[in-house]
Amino acid sequence: MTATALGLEAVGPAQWRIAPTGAMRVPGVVFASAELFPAIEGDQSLRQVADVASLPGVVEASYAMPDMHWGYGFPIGGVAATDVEAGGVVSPGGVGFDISCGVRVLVSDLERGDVSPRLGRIMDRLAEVVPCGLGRGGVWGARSDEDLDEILVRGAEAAVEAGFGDAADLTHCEDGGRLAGAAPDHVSARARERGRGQVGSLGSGNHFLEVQVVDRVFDTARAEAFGLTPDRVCVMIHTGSRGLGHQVCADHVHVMERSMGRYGIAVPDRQLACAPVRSPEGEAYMGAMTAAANYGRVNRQLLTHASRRAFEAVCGRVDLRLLYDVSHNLAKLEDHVVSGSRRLLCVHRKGATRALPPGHAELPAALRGWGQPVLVPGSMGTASYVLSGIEGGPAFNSCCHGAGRTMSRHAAKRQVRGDELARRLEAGGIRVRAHSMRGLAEEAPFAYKDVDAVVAACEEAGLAHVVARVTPLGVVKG
Amino acid sequence: MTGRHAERSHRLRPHTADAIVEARGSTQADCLAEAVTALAEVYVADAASLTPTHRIPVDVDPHDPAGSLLEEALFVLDARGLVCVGADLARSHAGVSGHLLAVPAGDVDVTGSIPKGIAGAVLRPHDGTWEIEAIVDV
Repeated sequence: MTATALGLEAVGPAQWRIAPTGAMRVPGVVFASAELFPAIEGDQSLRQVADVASLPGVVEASYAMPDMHWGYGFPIGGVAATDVEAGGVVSPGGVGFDISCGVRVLVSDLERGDVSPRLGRIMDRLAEVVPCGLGRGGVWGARSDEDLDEILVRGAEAAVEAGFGDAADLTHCEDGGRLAGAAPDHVSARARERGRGQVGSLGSGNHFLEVQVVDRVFDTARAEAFGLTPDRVCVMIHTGSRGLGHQVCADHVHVMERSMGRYGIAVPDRQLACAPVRSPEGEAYMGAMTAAANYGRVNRQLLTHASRRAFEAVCGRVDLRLLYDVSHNLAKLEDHVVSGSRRLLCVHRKGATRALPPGHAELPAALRGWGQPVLVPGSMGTASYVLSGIEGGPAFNSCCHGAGRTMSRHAAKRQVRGDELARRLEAGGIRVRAHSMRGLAEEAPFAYKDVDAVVAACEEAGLAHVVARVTPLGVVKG
Repeated sequence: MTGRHAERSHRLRPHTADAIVEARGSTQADCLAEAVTALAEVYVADAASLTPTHRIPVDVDPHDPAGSLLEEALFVLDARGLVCVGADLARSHAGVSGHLLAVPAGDVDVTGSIPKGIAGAVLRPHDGTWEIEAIVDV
């Protein structure tokens, strides 16, 4: 649907408003530069912004980040909050199937020159120890129900306690690596079966593990505080809660589809199935989603451990320190001021990253003065970014989560073969280790928006502040 | 549209981030079986030509026949490491039931992102036959 058809009007730098019409309870607000609009208008995502604005209890606006594209119910890049004590709903479509899909960045004590001569061996080793693609299990092996309960309730704490990391990892993880309020009883037997053997695995699709190098610094003081000095080598891990999270979403969508009538809820799209947060269905989903989020944090923690072992096997003792770990598919209960009064909101971020400002109490001491690192993975072969949260950041302190697709997987595969793409990347100095060379083509850089333009729009719109850009040296793909 | 039976066919359609599969068949059971093959072809080469080695009993939910069957195929993939490449289904007094037909995940040539969820699936009549459209989360 086009911007014209929805009556978008410019209301600020890189900020557009969809006036409420029909069932919309609040306006839509899209953060994007004019350069990004052709890609945004090419799919159903603008209509989805308007649809989300009709959810019961929604406050302020239905927001969309500059990397927005067509998603399940909510657009990917969508942010919306509902007033919990005023009948506000939670919608699994506002979280997505891959609950707590997210990113973490590890900063090494190595520079490009230390790694370059050994990069091939590092990538070979990473490809060996990072389970990805079909049927390769997980770092932690198949877990019993008791072990799964630990993972679902305690998150990354459980992995660290078992020897897969250290206390500093937890300090630098959103919520200390453990999101409170998990209800494993609401995670079905089917979800457990799907997740039992995948604890510590990358998956496929847009998930990846990259060895990266800092190639440009925009804010020297912040970059130094984050350890992101020029030529510094980092590892970025992008994955989520695997089959368990997907099953939790599917299970609870089915429940909510059946219960909406009982609460008098009508939505314009059945993918926006929802229930009041304060209802048995809403509370069951929040508990199960929280459990799946903790699974996602364990998953990334285990891949951190595997990465450290891989680097040590090739380079000897290496310090791979966690900069930050943050989800971009989650609904969280947060306090925000709306229309002058403080309220408890259920903030859905679906393909959007929380971006806490400097001084926020939830940030670890080492980062508190600088704002939360906002981790923005780009496409394989281009660049990724680290931004920081800013004071007064709009959309309940949220920012983009990546470049955002602009081309279907189908179309990407028609344009390039996976082996040809791998050759091009290697010619550009990027080592590729892919579980499926034919599947690699789906993730070709040209299938994504220009991450530089997306990040520039975030800065222009005042969503976050750009700190540093990193480019890939090597990538492991499922 | 491609398919192993003349009266059955399927195809994949573009979606920005995910995949859309379409299947057709002269009966509901045939259409559902074809959709399982279509789902496999999102990520496996020539799924229709693979010889199944495993048969997994399945009862299709009459309230959501296409969605429940495709979700079952994804469950089998994650929980048992088997890729469902087709189905042997028939109408029974309770609805549609039969077997998913599968091969070990290690035996297939992976050509794309692996599906993880069914974001929506509709089975409907079409010109005297049946068709399914499903959005597949990958």
